[in-house]
Amino acid sequence: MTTTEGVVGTATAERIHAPIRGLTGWLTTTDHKRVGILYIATSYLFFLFGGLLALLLRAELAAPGLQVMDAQAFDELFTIHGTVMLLLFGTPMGTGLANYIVPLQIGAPDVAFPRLNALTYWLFLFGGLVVLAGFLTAGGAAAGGWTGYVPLTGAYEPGVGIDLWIVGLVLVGISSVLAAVNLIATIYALRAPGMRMFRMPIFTWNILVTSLLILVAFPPLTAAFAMLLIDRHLGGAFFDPTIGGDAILWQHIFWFFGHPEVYILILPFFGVITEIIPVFSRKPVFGYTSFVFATVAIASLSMAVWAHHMFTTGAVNLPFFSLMSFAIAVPTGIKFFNWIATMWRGHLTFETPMLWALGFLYLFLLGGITGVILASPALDFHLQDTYFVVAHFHNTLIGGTVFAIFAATYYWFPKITGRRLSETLGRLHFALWVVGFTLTFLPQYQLGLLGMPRRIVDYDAANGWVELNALSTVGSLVLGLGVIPFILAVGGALRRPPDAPADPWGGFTLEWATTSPPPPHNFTNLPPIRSARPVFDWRMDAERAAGAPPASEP
Amino acid sequence: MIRLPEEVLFFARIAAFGLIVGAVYWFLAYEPAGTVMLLGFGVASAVASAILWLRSREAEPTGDGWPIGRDPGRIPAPAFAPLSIGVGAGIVALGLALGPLLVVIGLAIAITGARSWLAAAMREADPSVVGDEPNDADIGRT
Repeated sequence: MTTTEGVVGTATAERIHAPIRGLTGWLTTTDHKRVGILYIATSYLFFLFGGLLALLLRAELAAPGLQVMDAQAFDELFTIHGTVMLLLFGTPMGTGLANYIVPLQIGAPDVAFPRLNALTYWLFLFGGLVVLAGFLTAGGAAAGGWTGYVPLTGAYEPGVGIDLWIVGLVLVGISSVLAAVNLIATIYALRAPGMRMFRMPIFTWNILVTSLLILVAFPPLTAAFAMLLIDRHLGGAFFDPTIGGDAILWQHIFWFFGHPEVYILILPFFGVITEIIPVFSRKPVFGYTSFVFATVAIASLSMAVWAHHMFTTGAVNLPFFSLMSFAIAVPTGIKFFNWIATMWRGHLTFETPMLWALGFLYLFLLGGITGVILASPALDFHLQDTYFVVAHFHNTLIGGTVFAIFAATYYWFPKITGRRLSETLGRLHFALWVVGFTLTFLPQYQLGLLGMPRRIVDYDAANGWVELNALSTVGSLVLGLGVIPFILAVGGALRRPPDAPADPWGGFTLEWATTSPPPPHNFTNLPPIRSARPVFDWRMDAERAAGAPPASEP
Repeated sequence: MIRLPEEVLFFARIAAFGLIVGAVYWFLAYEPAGTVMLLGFGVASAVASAILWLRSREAEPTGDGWPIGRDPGRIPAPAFAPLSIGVGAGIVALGLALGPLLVVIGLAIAITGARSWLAAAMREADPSVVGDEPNDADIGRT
């Protein structure tokens, strides 16, 4: 067996600082693994909070005439629920996983700018807390929806909650941009010898592309927030039509961020799924190069579809945005084809990460198809602002992003902590979420077709929406209960001593070549990198050296 | 014919997409906000591509074809500076919504952290400084 000893290990180990124990260690850390854990843990806490808000919203809608909360509170809850789930859970979870996994996958001892990396976490945390601080103010939290449409957030809407929402999200945006710069620099500058671009794991490729999207998408949002603050407090007129501004301008700028944001939320997790399926199919990924180019194509096209959210304004070019939106289905379809082809004639096993990956394929496909429906202006005019849209984006963001986040958690938990999560609890968690998700969101498609608008606090029983809403609320309770086995699995695993081997799944990529959890400098030895599956090559070399016939690939 | 590294081509392809789609969009829609954003996306990617290409030509060639980077340099010691700047920025943000006093307090905390960061970075850039001594000094300073 040949290893590249010292290339990353001993040469840099002299420059690695011993970790500091206790709380001080976490507060002062610049180690990418610890920063990654902080990101992941904090994102999960925000997820639990956002989920609690969702349960309250569904409780209000369980039956007509209920008064679990008043209309103002309902508006605040759906605004903060959306903000938390998209910007304080989904996006930073991708950054957290990238922080932990990318340096390992490319054979680097850390990220390019470790101290900047720590700063991005603290900006994200405090930015998120500033957003939530609105609940503590007399006027309550922001209530203009996560899209912040003017005039709902403009100069005529008093209240500190909106201001806190704006400045908090500016901090989160700055954090995201700095993290993206750091990840691009890491991937460009710190790859181990032999790790060419087209030998990088697909997850790392997807993080590279996502980071570029963040660099393009977040600065316009930050600029829009600055303009909104000027409108609100300094007499500006960017978005106020009564004094010469343009409310549609906010929608253009917001969605120039907002639609790429959807892909910022899903592309890292396409990468996760592309890591998991080959490992549990015992096959190399089918169509590596087409995966890469499909990712680049999705990201590029996502920059040119923002106004499909604005079809009904009558102020956008319908054929252009419809055509570009339809076009995204092509590279996404290539990915689905490749995932299925990877499994085809593989030796499939169904451990918990693979179950979540399969759940992702099924549910994200539904979300994708309903997205194509909404890309058609004729249908979108009918479905705009109905529960059909709510069901569609939850189908992509829960069925897609959240399912893949759980897949990633079960897959990389042994690497991060040295402990495996319970398979039994993991399967229960998965089963409850598939059932809960289906019960919650499939009825919402029908509610949308029946004309139920989104963001309403109550409805008339005569509309015929009662049974479907009750079903949806029951489903949300199942989703809430489904989190309990996950919490038990994590809590139980963390109480046990670490016993996971370096490579519990038979993985292919470099993170499986080091101990679980990795040492401070990540690697003592690196296997030679001759393909996109260096650990698989290493394993084959070892078996050949030991005289055993190498395990054949199907 | 010039053979560009994949690292350069990655940004170049995206730049071409942004510039072409931006131009097409303008002639279809005559809508300035979207056109500026699309062309800005293309120009920014083109600039990144050009800088990478120029840098890669200046660097020593390697067997992998991509000569930039590799040496992570000195890995920074644990420090309170990032936390300090994060806390300061959070308080400044609160101050922008709640009152100027918080802005002043937040700025003071953030500047303290930034000074500590800068001092540590200068030590790390100094080849005559070896070992882990900056660790404790850095932590103690903030």
